[in-house]
Amino acid sequence: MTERSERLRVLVVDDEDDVRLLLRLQLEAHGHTVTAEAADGQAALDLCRADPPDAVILDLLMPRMSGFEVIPKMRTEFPKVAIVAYTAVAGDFVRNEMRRLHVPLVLKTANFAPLDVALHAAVADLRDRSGGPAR
Amino acid sequence: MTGVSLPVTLRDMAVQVGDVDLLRRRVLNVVGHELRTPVSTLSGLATELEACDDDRKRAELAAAVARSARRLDRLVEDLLLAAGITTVVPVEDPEAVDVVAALRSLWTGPADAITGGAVAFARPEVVRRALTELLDNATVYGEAPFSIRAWEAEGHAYVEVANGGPMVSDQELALASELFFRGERAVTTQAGLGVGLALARTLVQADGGDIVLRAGPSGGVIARLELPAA
Repeated sequence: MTERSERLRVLVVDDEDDVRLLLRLQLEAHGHTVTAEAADGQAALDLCRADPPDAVILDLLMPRMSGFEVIPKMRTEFPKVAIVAYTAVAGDFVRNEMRRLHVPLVLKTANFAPLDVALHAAVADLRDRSGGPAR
Repeated sequence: MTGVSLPVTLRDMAVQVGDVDLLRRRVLNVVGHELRTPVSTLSGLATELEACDDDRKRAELAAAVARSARRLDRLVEDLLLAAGITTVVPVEDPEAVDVVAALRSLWTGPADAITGGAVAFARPEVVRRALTELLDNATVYGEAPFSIRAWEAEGHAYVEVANGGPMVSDQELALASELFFRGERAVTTQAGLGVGLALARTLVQADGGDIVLRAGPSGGVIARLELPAA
């Protein structure tokens, strides 16, 4: 596991401006750095290429390229970038898809703690499996 | 042109679906998704606002709080309308409405996307609501390029809002346009209650017009508003 105090570099991906604003403020308040913000999957891929983060907070419901579409692409191109899915509602379809893709899922709430825990766990899991730093 | 049948209230939908439990799950799924994001965002923003002592950030947060509250307000209004709890008919008389002027007051994209001209005879609030729905649907669910054209022909005023995007079959278009009728895969890629368009269409029909959707020849959707000309 990574220490919860470790500062992570995080890419925020959500098509809602206010959700990105809130996540940026919450991440910064917890000592993390937001490398960039994207409003869809394609922009997220472009931003990963420009500056790979430790982790991506990924909304699933987005126009153009959804979270579902971008996860396999991100995994192929950036195998050492951790992904945490962040969505409002998850029925069986969403939960099964995230399980199949081995992506941790956090439901949107005002409380940042579950997301913080999931980010650290996802980064630690990648490091454990690759035996090195996430980037 | 392919018309799309839009149920207007939950009762209409129950009749169409014939399965109340399925309807209940669909409604709760969509409503849950659409309400959860603004509610959780609003709560988080308020918490941050309370703790923030930077004036610039406070202003940014306050604006975001107001946006989320407005979004919630609109969602609740749509839900009440869909439930048939409130009336949707504006209390005003039809009058001549310059649809291009109305379009320009609502459209935030490039000004040259709007071409042509037409003057409709309808209730101004009905025109405003219908145009809002057409523009919102194009920009939220569609992709550039956007084109908006107004014209008059044979006693009618027309507005077409076209957006780019992937090819859409008539069946997909019909499903995407129905109130709450989104399979879970559709819900995961297209957020929205889908209530506004159905209600706008009902209002437009009451003023002697219609809203019709069809697939674009090379992808995307073309939405046409038709009203009596002034």
